[in-house]
Parts: sequence; C-alpha cells; structure tokens
Amino acid sequence: MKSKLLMVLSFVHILSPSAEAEVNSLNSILNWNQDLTPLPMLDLVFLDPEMVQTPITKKSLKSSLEQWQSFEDPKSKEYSQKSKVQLWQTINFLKHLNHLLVMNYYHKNVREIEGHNTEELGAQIRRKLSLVIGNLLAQKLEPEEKSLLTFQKFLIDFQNPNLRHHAVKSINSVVTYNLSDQRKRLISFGSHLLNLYSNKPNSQEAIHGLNHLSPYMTKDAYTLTQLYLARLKLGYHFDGRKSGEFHPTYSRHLKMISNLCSSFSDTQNSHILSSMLSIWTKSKNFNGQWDKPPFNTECYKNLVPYLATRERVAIKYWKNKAFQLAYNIYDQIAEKTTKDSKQVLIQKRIVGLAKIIYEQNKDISFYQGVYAKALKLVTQTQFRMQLRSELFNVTKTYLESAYRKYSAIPDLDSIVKTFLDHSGNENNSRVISVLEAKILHRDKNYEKAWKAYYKLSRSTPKVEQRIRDLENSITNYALHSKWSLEEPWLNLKYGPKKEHKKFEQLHNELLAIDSYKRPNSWPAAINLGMVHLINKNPKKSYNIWKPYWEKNPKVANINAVQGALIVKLFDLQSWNLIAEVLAFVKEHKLKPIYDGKLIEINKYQEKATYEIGKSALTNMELLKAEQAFENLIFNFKNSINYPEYLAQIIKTSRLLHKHKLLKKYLEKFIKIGQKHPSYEANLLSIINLLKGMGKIEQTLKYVRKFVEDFPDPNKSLKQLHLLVRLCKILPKDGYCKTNLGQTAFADVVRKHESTKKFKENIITQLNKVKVASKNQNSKKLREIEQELTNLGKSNPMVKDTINFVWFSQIKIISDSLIKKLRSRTISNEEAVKHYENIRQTFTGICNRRRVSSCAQSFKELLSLTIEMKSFLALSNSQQLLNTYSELEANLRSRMARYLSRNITEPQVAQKILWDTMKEWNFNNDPYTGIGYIQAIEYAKKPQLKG
Amino acid sequence: MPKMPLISLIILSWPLHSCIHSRNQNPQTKYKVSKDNYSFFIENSNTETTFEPKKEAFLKQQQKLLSKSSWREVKTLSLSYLEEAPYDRLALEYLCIAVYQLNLTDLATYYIDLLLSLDQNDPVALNLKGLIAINDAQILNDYRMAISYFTKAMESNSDDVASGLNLGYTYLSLGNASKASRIFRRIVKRCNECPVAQTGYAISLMRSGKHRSATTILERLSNETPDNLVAKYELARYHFRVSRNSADANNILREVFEKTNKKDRNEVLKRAKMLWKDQNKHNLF
Repeated sequence: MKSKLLMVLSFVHILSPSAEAEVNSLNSILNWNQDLTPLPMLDLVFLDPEMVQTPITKKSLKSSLEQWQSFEDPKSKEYSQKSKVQLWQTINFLKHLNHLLVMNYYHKNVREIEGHNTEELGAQIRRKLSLVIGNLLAQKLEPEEKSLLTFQKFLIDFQNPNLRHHAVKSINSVVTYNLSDQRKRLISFGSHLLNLYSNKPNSQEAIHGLNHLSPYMTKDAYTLTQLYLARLKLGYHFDGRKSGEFHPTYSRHLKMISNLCSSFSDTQNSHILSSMLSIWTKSKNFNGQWDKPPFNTECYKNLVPYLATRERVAIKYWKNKAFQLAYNIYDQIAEKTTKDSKQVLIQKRIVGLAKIIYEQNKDISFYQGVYAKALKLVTQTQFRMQLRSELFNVTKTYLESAYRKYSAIPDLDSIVKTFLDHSGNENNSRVISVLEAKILHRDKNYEKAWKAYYKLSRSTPKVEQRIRDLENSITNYALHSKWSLEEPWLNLKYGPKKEHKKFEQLHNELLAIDSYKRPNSWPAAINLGMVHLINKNPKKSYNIWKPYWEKNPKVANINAVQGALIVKLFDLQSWNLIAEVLAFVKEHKLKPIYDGKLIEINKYQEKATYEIGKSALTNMELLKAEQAFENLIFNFKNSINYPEYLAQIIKTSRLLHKHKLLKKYLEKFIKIGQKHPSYEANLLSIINLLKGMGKIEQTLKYVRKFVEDFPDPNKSLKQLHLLVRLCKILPKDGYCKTNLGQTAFADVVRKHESTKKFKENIITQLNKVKVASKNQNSKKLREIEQELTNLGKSNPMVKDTINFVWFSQIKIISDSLIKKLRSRTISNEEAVKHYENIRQTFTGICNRRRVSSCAQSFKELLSLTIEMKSFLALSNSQQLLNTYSELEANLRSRMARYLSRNITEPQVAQKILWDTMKEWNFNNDPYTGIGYIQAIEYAKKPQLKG
Repeated sequence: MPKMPLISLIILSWPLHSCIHSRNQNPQTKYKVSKDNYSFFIENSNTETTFEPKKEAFLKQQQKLLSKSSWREVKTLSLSYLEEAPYDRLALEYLCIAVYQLNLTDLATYYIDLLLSLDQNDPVALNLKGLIAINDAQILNDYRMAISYFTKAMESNSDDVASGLNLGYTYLSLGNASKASRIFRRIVKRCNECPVAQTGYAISLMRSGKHRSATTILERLSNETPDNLVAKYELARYHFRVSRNSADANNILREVFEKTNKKDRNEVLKRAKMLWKDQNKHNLF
C-alpha cells in the first residue's frame, strides 16, 4: 500500500510546474525507490485451485456480512460439538466471504465495506477460517480431505506472520499423507516456500524446487513464486530482510513474469508491475536507467506504475535538455491518464515543456496544438480557463509579433482556426480574427482579408466595430479586385466588370447602419462608384459621389476619382455630366488626375460643351445649344475648332431667328473659316441674309468675296449676276468701277444672260407645244421640233421638250386612230398597223428621262389598246382580240412594274396608276397588284377625290 | 404720254393696309416657300407671333411716316426692321415704296425682285413694277408690260385696289375707256365705293360717252368730298367740253386751283389752260 501511495505522491510532485517542485518530486521518487514493498500476500488465496469462484454481487456481499456479524466464535465449546457437515459449511462460508473481500479489495480497490475496514476484516476472517479448519481437522477425516484442509490451513497461516508457525506444523503433517501428484506438488511447493522463508540451510535447494514446481502452479502462484525468487536473487528476503548476495539473473524471473502478463487483469498486472519495479529499482545494476526495464513492458504501457516509470524517463530527458523527447513521453502519459486531477498535473508539465520547446523552435502550431490537446483532455474548468487564456496570449503575441515584423505566416489559417476552435471567448476570438484580417491585408491576401472582415462585421453586435469591419472589408475587396483608391484610373484599365454586386451589398450594409456618418464611407463609395463607372453607368457613379463632394469638396483622392470619372464620361460621351463635373472642378479649383497626369480640363470642357451644343441642336433645344456654343466662342477663341463653333452657332442663331447675331457670327466666320466645309454655304448664307436685310453695300462685299473665292463660273454664276445688279445700283463702288468693264467679267455675265434667255426661249417653246397639242396642230409641232433641234439636242432641257413634242404628236395620231376606231372607218389591218407604229413611239418615249412622260405614254397606249379591243370585238377576229387582250394585260403589268420601280414623281405616277388600274383584276399579275395597291394608297388622298 | 403724279401717292399707299389685313388673316398663304438659301428666314411662321408687337409698332410708325411722305425715314425704318426680320415681306414692301418714291429706280427694282422672289404674285411688287415700267415707258410695249403687271397684281389679290386703279388709269391713258370703266367698276366694289375708284369710274364713263352716268357720279363726289379735286376737275372739263357751260366750268376750275397745293397749282393751271385753249379763253384765275 505504501508503494501505491508513494507513487501517487510522486505524480503530484512531478507534475508541479515549478523547478523547485520538480527537484523535490525527483527526490521523492529516489527515496521511494529505497524501500522494499511487501508482496501482496492475499493473492495466495488463489493458489487454492478448488476455490469456488462465486459471482460477486453487492447483495451477496451484504448478506454474507450480515451472516458474519452473527458468526460464532470457533473457540467456544458449542463449536467443538458441531458436526463435520456443519463445519464444512462454515469453512465454505468463510472462504466465500474472503473471496468476496479479495475481489472487492484488489479488483475494485474498496477500502471499506459496510463500515468494516476491508483489510482488517480479511485478517479476522482468515484467522477464524484457520480455527474452523483446525476444528474440522480434529475430527476423523479421509486422508485426501485432511490433506486438503491442512494445505489450506497452511496457506492461511502462512499469510499471517503470527500464525506462520502453525503453517510449518501443517505442512509437516500433510507430507505424511497419501496424496495425489497435484496435491503433493502443492505441498512441496509450500514446503519450499516455507523453507526459504525460514532461511534454512537448504535454501538453494528450495529455490531450485520452487523453480521446478512453479510451472505446475496456477499463474498467480507462478507469478508470486517468480517474484519471490527474483527478490531472493536481489539479496532480500520475502519480508524485506537481507537474505544473501545480489545475483544479476533476477531479471530473468521478472522477464518470465512479464511474459505471462496477458493472462492477468490490469489491476493484477498493476500490482505485479509494482512489485517488479520495486525489485528492479533496488537492484545494484539499476543505476537510474528508467528507460531500460529488464522485463517486457508490452502489457503495462497503460498502467499507472509504468507511466510513473515513463515519467521518470521524461524527467531524465528533461534534465538532459532533451525537451522534445520528454514532451513526447509526457504526451503519451497524458493520453493514457484518465483521472482529471492527474491530467491537469500532467498537462501543466506538458505546457511547461512545450513553452521551452516553442521558445527554441518557434513552432506556433505545435505550441497551439499542445494547448488544444490539453483543452481536449482536461475537464477542470479553472484549468481550462487558464489554458484558453494562455492559448489566446500565445496566439495573440505570435500574430502581433509577426504582424509587426512583417514576417510571413504560412499556416495562418490553421493557427487562427486552432485558436477559434478552442477560444471559448468571443472577445478573444475577435482580437485574433482582427489580427488575422490585418495580416491577410498586410500580406496582400485581399480576398481572404475582405472575407475575414466581413465575417467579423457579421459577428459583432457593436455598431462601431461593424462599421470599421465593413469599411475594411470593402477596402480589401477593392484591393482584391485590384482596385486602387489612390489611382482609380488603374481600375478603369484593369478592373473587373461584374463584381459590383458584392460591393453594392457591402456598401448598402454600411449605409444601413443608422449611426454611420457619410464622410466615413467615402472610400467605400469610391469603390462602389468605380464599379458603376466600369460597368458604363457613370451617372450612378456620379450620383454616389456627388453628395460627398458637395459636403466636402476636398475629400480624399477626389482629384483622382474625378479624373477617372471625367475620362470615362468622355469615353462614354456623357457630355452633360462631364460639363457638370468640370463646372464643379472649376468652382472648387480642383485638379483632376488621370494616369498620374493632370487632366487638361479645358480640353475636356471644350469637347463636352461642343457635344452638348451639338446634341441640343439636333434635339432642337436651341437655347441650350446657343448657350453651349456661345460659351465656346467666348472661352475658346484660340481653339483650332473655333470656325466649327462659329458654324454651329450660326446654325443655332438662324433657327432662333437672331438675325443680328447671325450676321455677326457669319461675318466672323467668313473672316476665319475659309477652310471649313461650310464656308461656301455660310458665305451664301450671309449674302442672302444681307440681301434680306436690304443691305446693298454689305451684300456686294460678300458677293465679291464669293466670286473671288469661287472663281468657277458654274458655281458663281448666280452670284455674278447678283454682282452685276449690285454694281449697277452702286456704280461708284471701287470694285464695280474697276471690274465691270473687264472682258472676263463681262463674258461671264453675258454667258449668264444668254443662259437666262435660253431658258426663257425653251419655256416659250414649251408653251407653244402645249397650245399646238391642244389644237392638234401637227404641223406646228413639227416646226417646234425643228426649232428645238436647232437649239442643240444635247441640252437636257431641249431633250425633254422634244420628248414632249413627240408625245404630243403621237397623242394626236392616237386620238385620230381612236376616232377612226370608234367610227369604224378603218380596216382591221390598217388599225393594227397604226397601232403598232404608235406603240413603238410610245415605248421609245419611255426609254427617255422623265417618268411622268413615260407614265403618260403608257396611259395613252392603254387607252388605245382598250379601244382596239372594243374595235376588234365587233369584227369577229377572235385571234386578234386575244392578242390585244394579252397586250393590254402585258401593258398594265409593265406599267405597274415600271412605275413601282421609278417613283421619282409619285403623285403623277400613282394618279396614272389609279386611272389605269382601278378596274383591273390585279390577281393576274403581282406587279399589277403592287401598282394597284399604290394606286389605292394614292386614291385615299383627298386630292384624288377632288 | 401723260404721267399721273396726282394719283400716284394714293395708288401706292392704298394696298398696304389691305395687304396687311389679308396677311394677318391667312399667314399660311403668305409666302410661296422657296428652296433657296434664305428659306430659313421666311419659312418659320412662329416668329411672326412672337414678333407681333414689334411688327404692330413698326406698322404704326410706317403709316405715320407714309402720311407725311417721309420716304427717307420709311426707308431707314424698313432697313432697321429688316435687320431684325430679314425678308419680312411687309418691310420689304415699305422699302420698295420708299426707294421708288426716292427715285432710286434700280435699287427699287432690286428690292422689288427680292420681294417677287418671295412671292411672285406680291401685289405691291407687281404694282411698283408696273409703275416703273410706265415711268420708263418708251414704247407701247412698255405700257403693255405695265398693264400685265397691274393685271397680275389685281388678279392675284382680291383685296388689292391700288393695282386696279393704276390699271384703270393706264387703260384711260391708252384711250381704252371701256376697259378702264370695267376695271374701275370692279375696283369700286372692291374698295367699298371709295371716292378714288368712283372718280376713275366716272372719268372712264365720261371718256366712253356715258356723260349722264358720269356727271351724276362726279357731282355726288364733289358734293360729298369737297377735296376731291380730280372729280371737280373732270366736272369742269365736262362743262367746258360737253355742256358748254363755261361759267360753271370756270367756277369749278377756280375752286380746284385754290384748293390745290401751291406746288401743284402749276399742274392745275396747265390743265386749265388746255381747257381754255379749247374755249379760246385765257387765264381766268
């Protein structure tokens, strides 16, 4: 028992963390090793092979103890009068009771049963058992029976030092009986044991005998025997007395015991191991070599005594500064330690060791792992709190140090995870998580950083913290997306396009916090706006940024943000917004930057204003356009586009009917805009404007300019004519004086005059044609044709007029034929011949220029054809009639096709179509159908109804 | 060929009011839309409404100046107005009249052509063109030209009176009294029996031998409008030549002479002398 107590004590000391306690505990172990532990003799009971292994229950134990209470004293007179059977019953009862006690005491370590000290009670029972067996032996018994009883009495008495002399008697008497081999071996074994114990001269023989007999014994007896022999070889007797010299072969006995270990229970093994340790540690060749036990340790690895041994090994390593080895052993011990109190002590030791190791290798994962493991194994609240606190301190210190020193933490994830898995404290968790996020940010692992911050924001109930976390999250998200707050143009160049939802979400969450102050969210707003900017929605960006700017025009990075905005707006041609932004920029004297360079505000403003004006002009927002162009004209006088601005404001002023201004701008334009595409038009415009204003001198000036700038008479003929007229009005004008008489000038004017006369001539001829046609005067028409031919056929006007003459001539012939047909004064052959001539002529007219003439020709031909049909219908010429019906259909189709392709004069064409197609079944021919539809369209118009 | 200075003023100023009225009533038919470069200035009728007060003021001022025959001022005012409203027909019309009155014929022709380029049937322009043709008339064809202008002006605008009067007097000048009477009869209706037209009508009747009808009208006119010197002159002429009542004729001539402006008296005297010459009488004034 003492050994067990000592072992426990040693643990207590060893596990104390301080160095002093460590030394003390080591001493206690060393002291303990000086003692010899008596063998647990109670086990000898099990030497009896006939022992009934009755099931042990609490109930049976209780009833047996009650019976024991009323047990009579075996020394009394009544007892001696008991029959043999009664005595056997008593013996069996006592043996049974003893067995119960043994089982409870050894196997369950029960010290007290029903108010009785187990050990004392055992001793009393065994004493009474000895007496009762003595009583029975006094009666007449069979030899076998007697020998058994005697041996039992020997065993019992042998266990009790006071009765051992009876044991000697008993064994001596037993040997005389005629016994079985097994019994004989038992008796012999007991005899040898007794001899050894008595330290008789023939002890060597006894040892040999025991060795020889032990294999025949039960495993318990064998083990005890081997232990005893080992002890003897160590030089000690059974009860601790010095017996002889040390013999190194003692270890052989221990090894033999350990080989049998698998057949014992853990408790039995524990006792056996204690005894073996007691023997081994007292041996002369032990020398503190705890790590080299002379027996097989396989079965004992989970047993406390063995663990105590391992601890000694660990301490040895520790002392030798082999900390890792020491830690490994402690780790094994901890795993096998079930008692929480012991575990606490062990873990304290482990943590102490781990600290030393951590200081050497700086392996935070290992260090954290130690705490994690400790927290897993220990249930004691206080110690757990202590462990958590230390784990927090360790993790925090490590992360802070790493963060400060910018050192890399490759396994940051697992470090934080390990901590968070065992933290148990939200505040501490937050501290570590914040550190993690900071480190992630520092290491530019922005994706993880923004997620970490976002996670933090979701877990904290504190508003301020939440705000900060969200802001950080947004910032990191931006960085993850490779966005820069300081150089937002990079975002435009490289920024992703479809990640704005997360930004929006983060930003909205931030803004949803009531106490959130807007200016603080500016960095977030930059990013959010930038997303919209990248996604080509600058208006949204501007709407986000505008309130911040209005509140504080000098907000951080405003120049860069505005630069990006301006450039993007420029790309997207959002001119109105650019103008608005630029106005703000100018008002607050800001200096927008893009790509690291200052933006030329004027350039952008000029372009934006121009585009705004142009767009307004297109949309007929004239005042807005005027404002824009005026702005350009007043502020960008040196621009290379100045003539263009003038050209635009000229258009605007004209539409606004601001004629005075228009005149002013036109004058300016004419001065500087010679190379502008609208120069000619504007020059004509100012001429016409001045004409309309009645300003003769000024008109003359610009007409002169036109004639000078565009000397080609084809272009300037009209202006030349005007010039002549004006010179006639203003003959004293210097230019007129000089130039009017010049030949070239006069020639041009003459040419113009002749053209004018030519036109007048043609018109006169045309009127003549009309009159002649009306009067059906073919002769006159021929004359006119001749006159026109003399004028020159190449002239388009002449061509047209001749065409018209031809048409009129044919019309006369056609009308005459129709008359003849109606009056039926012509033969079929003649009619057909005439018709063919007329048809060819009409077709010829159609090959010429005017669509209306062609349409008219078709119309006439169709009328004629219809007349022909009517004529032929009455002349019994079916074949001809069919031919003309086909001709009519063909004519309508051709006409429709022709007109539908050449509607340059739609009204004329459609009117003719209507006239010719209204009675036609257009299903016969698709083209006719088209013509018919067009004709109907035309018919819907009011002018046709009239 | 005789000219008609006495009636020219009336002829020129008459149609402007009627033109103004007709234009305001139907602005859509105001101009023939041209595709020239200046179409911008004349197409948009919105300006007219916004410009209306200015235009009204302009008209009032012009009428005042016209009544005073202040042609230079009319010209200046028109030009100034045109600066703000180029191609404004009315302003151009005033400008044409003023320039014509200032005897700047070439310039007047220029402005008239401008006016005709806006509307080839503009009665004022055509009327002026006719007058210029008569002024420069060398041959009968020039008168025919003038007649064609006056006719076109009269036919193109049913309210136009001046061109009708000019046409009537031109026919009278050419001795075609019956045609003149037909014209004057139309104009009398057109101008609500205005004295000028009635006078013309009476003269044409007189020339075509319808003395009774003519004298009735002339007497009525001279009674109703004592300042109508033309009617009075014609009545005197009638008395000299037809009724041979020299006393009455001389009385009337005297009255005409007295009522005529001093600067125009020579003209009256000249005409009176012609009558007296017929009667072998000498200066009775």
